[in-house]
Amino acid sequence: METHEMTPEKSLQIINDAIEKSRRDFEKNAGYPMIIWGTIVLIFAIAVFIMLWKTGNASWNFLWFGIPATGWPISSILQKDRCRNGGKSFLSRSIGQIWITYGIFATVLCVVFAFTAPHLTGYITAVLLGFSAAITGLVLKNRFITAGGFLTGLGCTIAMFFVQSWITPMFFAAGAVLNLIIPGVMMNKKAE
Amino acid sequence: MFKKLDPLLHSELRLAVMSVLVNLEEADFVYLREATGATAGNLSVQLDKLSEAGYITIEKGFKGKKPQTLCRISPTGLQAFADYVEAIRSYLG
Repeated sequence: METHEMTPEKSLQIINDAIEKSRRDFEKNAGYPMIIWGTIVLIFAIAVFIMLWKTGNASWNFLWFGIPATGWPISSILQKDRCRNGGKSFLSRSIGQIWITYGIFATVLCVVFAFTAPHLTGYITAVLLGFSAAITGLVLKNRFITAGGFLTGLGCTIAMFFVQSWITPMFFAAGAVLNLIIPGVMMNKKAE
Repeated sequence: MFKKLDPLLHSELRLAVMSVLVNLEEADFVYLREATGATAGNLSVQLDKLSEAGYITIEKGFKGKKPQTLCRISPTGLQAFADYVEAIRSYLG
């Protein structure tokens, strides 16, 4: 790119190209962490569900801690090469902070509920998941993610009053599919 | 009446750099080079010009063991960019 004089049309083109590149870069990198974390959550939620169903032993709720324990290293390794992105936007930082905050709250609440009311652990994490997804959707102006977030958060809040059994981890599993895996795949498709 | 175009921004590479930075909180040298398609030498010269005008800030440091040059747009640069876009719009009617 040279530094010669240019027309107003060329100037606008340069500005538009930069905005478009910034948007593409964000979308290119945004879908993968959602798919990675969604898959990990799905695997552990199904594992907890099967163990509670087969044994009836609430101690299996401690398996929830496997999500952050495996999620962080796996996510770091898989994202290492993909995230060679020297440009940090306000949008990507905001979305990242929403999910880090979710991770902290979900882990702390898991600890508390694992000891006090283990049957509610799946619900609480799913409600928080829906809350975080809804905010993400609103920030991204993505109706599907927003609707999925509200559906998960409010649906699980209501379900807490009616269903209190070993099936609760499946609500979290459904939340992972609806709020992380499907939106992640959609964002990747859009970026392609 | 056409508004006067900022000569510092009315240059392909410097405008491209500013357009990238206006969308980001910060960008490193490698990202800017890839985004603009400029050579390292040319980009370095233009970044210095923008920095001297107070349009961007340049922070040199390390990411791990590798050197890293981070660029951010300043409030002065943001205002200059907004004025430039406004001026361009007056030319285009």
